[in-house]
Amino acid sequence: MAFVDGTAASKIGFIFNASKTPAKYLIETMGGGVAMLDADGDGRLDLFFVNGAGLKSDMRNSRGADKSSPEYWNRLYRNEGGGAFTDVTEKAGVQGRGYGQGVAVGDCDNDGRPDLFVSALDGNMLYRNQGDGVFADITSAAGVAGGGWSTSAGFIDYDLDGNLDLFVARYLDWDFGRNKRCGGQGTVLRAYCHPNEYRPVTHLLYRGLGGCRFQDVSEESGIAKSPGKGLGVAFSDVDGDGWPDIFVANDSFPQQLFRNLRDGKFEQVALSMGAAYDEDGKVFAGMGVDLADYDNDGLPDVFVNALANQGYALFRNSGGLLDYVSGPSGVGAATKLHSGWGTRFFDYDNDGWKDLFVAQGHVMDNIELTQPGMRYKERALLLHNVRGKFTDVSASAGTPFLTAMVGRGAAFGDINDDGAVDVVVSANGAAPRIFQNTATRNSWLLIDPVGTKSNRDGIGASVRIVTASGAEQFGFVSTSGGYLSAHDRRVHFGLGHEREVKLLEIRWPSGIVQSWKNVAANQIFVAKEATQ
Amino acid sequence: MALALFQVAPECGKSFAAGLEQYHNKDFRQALIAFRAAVQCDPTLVQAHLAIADIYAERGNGGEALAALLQALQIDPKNVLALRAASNLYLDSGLHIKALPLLEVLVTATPNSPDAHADLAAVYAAGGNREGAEKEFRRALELQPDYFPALAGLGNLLARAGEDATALPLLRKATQLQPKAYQGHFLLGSALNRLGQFPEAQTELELASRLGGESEPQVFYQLARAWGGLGKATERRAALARFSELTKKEKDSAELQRKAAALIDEARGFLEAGELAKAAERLELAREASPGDATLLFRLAGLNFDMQHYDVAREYASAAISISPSTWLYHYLLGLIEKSSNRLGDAKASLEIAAKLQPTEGPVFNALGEVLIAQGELQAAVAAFDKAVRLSPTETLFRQNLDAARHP
Repeated sequence: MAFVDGTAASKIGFIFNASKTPAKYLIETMGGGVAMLDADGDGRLDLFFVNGAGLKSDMRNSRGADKSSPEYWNRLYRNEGGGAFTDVTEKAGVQGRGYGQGVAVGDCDNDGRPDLFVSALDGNMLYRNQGDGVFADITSAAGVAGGGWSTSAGFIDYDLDGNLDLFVARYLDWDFGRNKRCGGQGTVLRAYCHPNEYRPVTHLLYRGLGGCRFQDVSEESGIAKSPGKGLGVAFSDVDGDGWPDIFVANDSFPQQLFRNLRDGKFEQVALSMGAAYDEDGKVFAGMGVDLADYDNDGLPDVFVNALANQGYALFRNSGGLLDYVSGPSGVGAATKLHSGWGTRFFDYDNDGWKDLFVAQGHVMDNIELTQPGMRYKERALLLHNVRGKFTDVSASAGTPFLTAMVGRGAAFGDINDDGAVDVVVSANGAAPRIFQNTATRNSWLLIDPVGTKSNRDGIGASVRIVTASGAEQFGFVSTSGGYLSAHDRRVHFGLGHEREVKLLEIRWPSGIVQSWKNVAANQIFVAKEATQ
Repeated sequence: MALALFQVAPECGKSFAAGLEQYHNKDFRQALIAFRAAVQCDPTLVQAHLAIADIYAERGNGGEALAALLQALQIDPKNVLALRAASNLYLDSGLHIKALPLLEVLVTATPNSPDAHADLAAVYAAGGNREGAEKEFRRALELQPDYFPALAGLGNLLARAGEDATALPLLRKATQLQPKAYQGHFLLGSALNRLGQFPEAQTELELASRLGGESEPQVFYQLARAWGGLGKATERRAALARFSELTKKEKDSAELQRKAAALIDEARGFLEAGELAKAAERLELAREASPGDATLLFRLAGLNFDMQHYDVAREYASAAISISPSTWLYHYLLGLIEKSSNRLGDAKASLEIAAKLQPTEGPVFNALGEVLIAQGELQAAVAAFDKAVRLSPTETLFRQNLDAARHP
């Protein structure tokens, strides 16, 4: 059994409060995000949870969702070591505003301390990490409040200028006043509306100007040309040109891949690259998304999960095209009846192949009434990657996989620095769950990139390792991906029985390519960018 | 329509026989009226429900057909014809989950029917029950080795699971059996795409597009994959453009349906507020978006009747009747419209049809009585008012009309 349940030992008392009402506001279904970040600079990953807010059955004359009560606050928990956490929300000043959705982490002022962006309905927030355990709300000065219904967000250096930029996906043209009645008559059969009931909206791109100040470039970058129904966001260099591209998982709407044209503009190419639809050319409910090289061929692939009866989509990057390979890879059969959200490729058993984790749970809280074969609460899914073929190993992966939950956001990272990647899943209307990965006998390497000429986090750096056997693996520095959540910035590799990495090569966003030889396994390796 | 001989009460059998005769004469409207009369007379007359469903299905009115079939199944839950037809209607509407229990009963009722097993397999496959689907497809093929839906279905199932070596021969056999069916070529082409056998995939998919798949976006999506695999960028772009065009058409149609539903909601609000003209305007817009909706036409007729726009109301009511001729309420409304426009002959004809379709509605007979009085048919009017009073003994207006007719 790889995982144990670390929730009780963590002493985390957070509950995502969806504030469900008879009006069945669609936002009640969404859940919230989780972030892993070293907020206080003590070297340990702390946890941040986004929360909902108080809703009423009739919100038409209200001032919006009410976050004033502590039960609705976003929460920051300090990692005390040994699996225990302490609530430091009030000291940090990160209670938040509005009905929270997602979280992004990045060092937007390049001071070595991770800053925090929180997306929400009707206005987002940016907090600058002051370094004394306190975060300052700089939303207004930074110019990133946005508006509408923001969901997943992430920091990216799309113009490679050393300042982190910010991408914010938005979901639907919806507000409380335009909430429709859907489903059957009466309160029992009333259901949340399908996203088809509302129009798509444009996503937001902010160009970083340095010092956590931003300029909205959604229009001039071309991002606003392609509205979507965005829930998940992930970044990687999909076309291998050295510039990061953006993938947006859209709900019941064609998926979007914004290719970086290297001149500050983006072109939406999902259809022409083959990743807009499933293999039958049909739209599906994209929710969580991740980009990573699961088959170790040097090209980042795409995973997008979906709603029950659709099957999750795995697109293999064949260099120029993204081929739908859910069937032959085993992903389709293992996921057909599930509904997925938070997700990430990660090598849970350190065997050198990136596996897949998916936090699961249906959208409809009364799905059992209309579709008896489906469940609102679902067990999390772990797919083991054996040379590009995936097998469902959830049932034998440990106790946290045995109890169903309404899984939503999921953050990934090595919380206890033991070389095994842990997972924290936020549940809608319930307590989160910590999937604590017990150390394996396999070797590992955790690379902590430190940018100098590039952005301080090294976000956007491409990492390649070669082991003695000649096997190669590839990584990409990003805190984004999945659903509403932010991850450990460090790049993790499982090494099997290898004792060292023969070659470690990093291509930094600055263009500098740097390599290290004979790097010992089983360590956290700080890779500092050369000055030139 | 294949209906067996059966035992039935003579008076009900008469209506049913009349319906059959009209059906054979291809006078479906009169046939429907007769079959409705038969089920009014004997609600357990399964064959009459089936006949009604058959006529509605032929006319493309799936909703009414399904309602009739479900009534038949309430009376005889193992009726094979009803099970098959109802499950097909559900499958056509993409409601696999509703078709599933019907098909499960159907395969036990007709264990040697390959189509029942293949249909059940298809539903299992759509629901992710790979094991059940494969078992049912294989059972269908045991019963009939050259059964096209089972060959194509099993081939597709296996190909999607990556079992291409087993899948391809099945799909090839399916296309040989029905070389002019586009579905077989489409599935074979899609499987070949997955295998990276792009030249043959392109040939099969081109064939599929020529054999009836020219309006199916998915055919062009697969064709684009094949062209992509062949490195033909221009052809790939053209196929994707066609795919986008067809997808947009489908999306626009769905959008219109949603728009109609939203307009009906708005109209309801105006109706509740007593703003009839605004409600009618919204319903008219909804009708433009969803022109085949009989209920919508009926609502429009009713609203225009309330606003005394009789010519417009007549047009809508007649249109509703042409879509759903055995709905008594539509004939009743048309009768009221004609009565108010003083077209008494037409009013009488419509109300008589309504009375025949729904012999238990007092207001229909009362309205008929009023028309008959105006036409000077006193004796017939007394009979109509008398029936209205018997059906609705507490309605004082009906009683007053009866008294006035008896003592002119």
